[in-house]
Amino acid sequence: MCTGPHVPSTGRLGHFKLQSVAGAYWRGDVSRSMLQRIYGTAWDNKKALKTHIQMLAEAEKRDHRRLAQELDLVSWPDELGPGLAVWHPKGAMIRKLMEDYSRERHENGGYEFVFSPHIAKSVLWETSGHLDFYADGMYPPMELDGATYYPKPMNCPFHVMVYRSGQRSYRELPLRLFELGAVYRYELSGAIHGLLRSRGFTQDDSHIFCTREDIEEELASLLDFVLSQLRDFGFHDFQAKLSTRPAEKSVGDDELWEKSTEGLRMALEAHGLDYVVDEGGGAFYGPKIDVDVKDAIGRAWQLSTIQLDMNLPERFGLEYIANDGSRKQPVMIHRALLGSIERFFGVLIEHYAGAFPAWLAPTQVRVLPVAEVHDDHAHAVASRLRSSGFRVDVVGAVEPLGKRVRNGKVEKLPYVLVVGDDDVANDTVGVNRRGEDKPERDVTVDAFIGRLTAEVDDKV
Amino acid sequence: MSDVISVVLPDGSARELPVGATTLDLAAVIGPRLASDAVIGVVDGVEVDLNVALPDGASVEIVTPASDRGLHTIRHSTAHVMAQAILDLYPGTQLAIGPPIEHGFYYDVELPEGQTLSEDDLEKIEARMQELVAADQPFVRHELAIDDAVSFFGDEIFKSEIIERVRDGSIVGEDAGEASGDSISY
Repeated sequence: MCTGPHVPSTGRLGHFKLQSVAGAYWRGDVSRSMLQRIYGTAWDNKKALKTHIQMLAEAEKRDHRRLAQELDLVSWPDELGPGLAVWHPKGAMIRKLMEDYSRERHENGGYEFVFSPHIAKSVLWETSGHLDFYADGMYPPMELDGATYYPKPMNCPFHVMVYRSGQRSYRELPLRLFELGAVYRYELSGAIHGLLRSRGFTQDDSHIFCTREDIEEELASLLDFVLSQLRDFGFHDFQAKLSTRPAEKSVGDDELWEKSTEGLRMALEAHGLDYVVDEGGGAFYGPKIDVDVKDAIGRAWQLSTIQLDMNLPERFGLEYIANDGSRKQPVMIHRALLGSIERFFGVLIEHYAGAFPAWLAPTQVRVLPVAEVHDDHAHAVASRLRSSGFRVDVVGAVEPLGKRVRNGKVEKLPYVLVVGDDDVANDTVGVNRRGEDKPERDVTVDAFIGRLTAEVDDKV
Repeated sequence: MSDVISVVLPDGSARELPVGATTLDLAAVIGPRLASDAVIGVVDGVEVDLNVALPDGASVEIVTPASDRGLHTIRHSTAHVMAQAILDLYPGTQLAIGPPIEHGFYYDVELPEGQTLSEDDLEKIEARMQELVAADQPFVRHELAIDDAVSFFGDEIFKSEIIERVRDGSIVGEDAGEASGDSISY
């Protein structure tokens, strides 16, 4: 009982592999039978099947949940509840570096910082429309003093409050408000997946308020900004999707829809980005672009979103005083570039298989004295490296050198330096670079500092 | 009445075929390679089996595995073959839904009382599927009126529920799989 159609006969098939068995409730209803769901992969030729299976095996090695545990980055204790994580010091160091980077780029990019609370009364969510359209995705409310509070699933209405706090003039626009905003969304438990899909996460979120005339330029520079950040993190293979006006319900005037959709399209063309068009797939309140990156094993990840919004300015009655003294409604652009810090970190872990580039590695260098007698010199070298701004540790000669070097490899440290008799005498180190079998001996400490500085600056 | 029909290809060119010609016949006329590659046809925007007679004046597209649509069909058909294999190995299994998904497919099943599948069983199911592939069984389409479908699928809990939802309009077309002997019916 199927609408079909199907291949003419079974002989046309054959390049498949069954993969796993999972549980699935009939019609998603927990009160009905729990069925068994058997998953398989299928292709039209042997090579494609083989390539896919190899990719899956490689992906398995890179599973960020396992690497997060092995490298002591993040964990998901049961006591927190599904989709919620704690970040350990090593993971937190990487997160701090990611957030510092994001803040610096935004500060230099013409953005203003704002902060907002994690909860707000229902009236905010009624005005924004979240309770109408997004209620299923929200955590349940809390009652306090006769009012109903919801944890925020998005930061937008708060940024609108900042915009609306005073009369705005065209001279202030584009006004770009930025926040590393923590949001809470109710995702189905079956959909939760480590850092990639969680119930509590932080977005590199910004809302841009601008005039119609600004749209084209703003969108072009936004796309530039997002690609530049993704490249700094090591992604160079991009694909985008442009979602246009839905055929059924939509708000906003035709001219604005036209201008913003064309603005997005032109930005994509100008950057020579590979993109597909999802005709009619846009939200009812505006067109958008999603940017996907391809990771080291060829998988696509949707990370960035640039979304136009003709609804919220209307719902909140936003205005600005135009050049000619008249009151006009600003256009609003929502954008998240890394998407969420959590999801982005999950993708980074898998992209690098935990071997982060030096600028992100929680520990960049480990110094190993060959024997106890070299301890003082090892600590002196470490001290000099720290003064140059690097994250360094020293592991004394408690265990044999070979074992300590191997541990460094297991921890995927970018550099392990060895200090022995000659090194003490000549102020050199033996350099073990991650990914290289043979150490490089007799490297002066100054030369090493120069090399690592360049590597960190270039983010390689 | 004419005994030829005319159909239009995606490039705008037209072909004349005898009345009753199918997408497969059209493919054969264009080239033998295309005929052996063809998976399904798209006639006036609707996907159809290769053996369906073409209407006069239709726009016809021949779908090969090289396309997303072709792969989608291969995955869908593979899901049905898996359902058949499971029924062969575990008679009495209730079948629910088996759609294609990105890179593959799944099928939801309920084995008879007291039995469950584990990943250790997958090899066995896969082997039976390969036997079905080697037997080159045709996929045969049967169209049933809703009431006839109800009696046909009487014993099948999940299929019957799907039929009722089709009847009341809450779903349009769903996935199913029914197997009998030497062909796969759907």
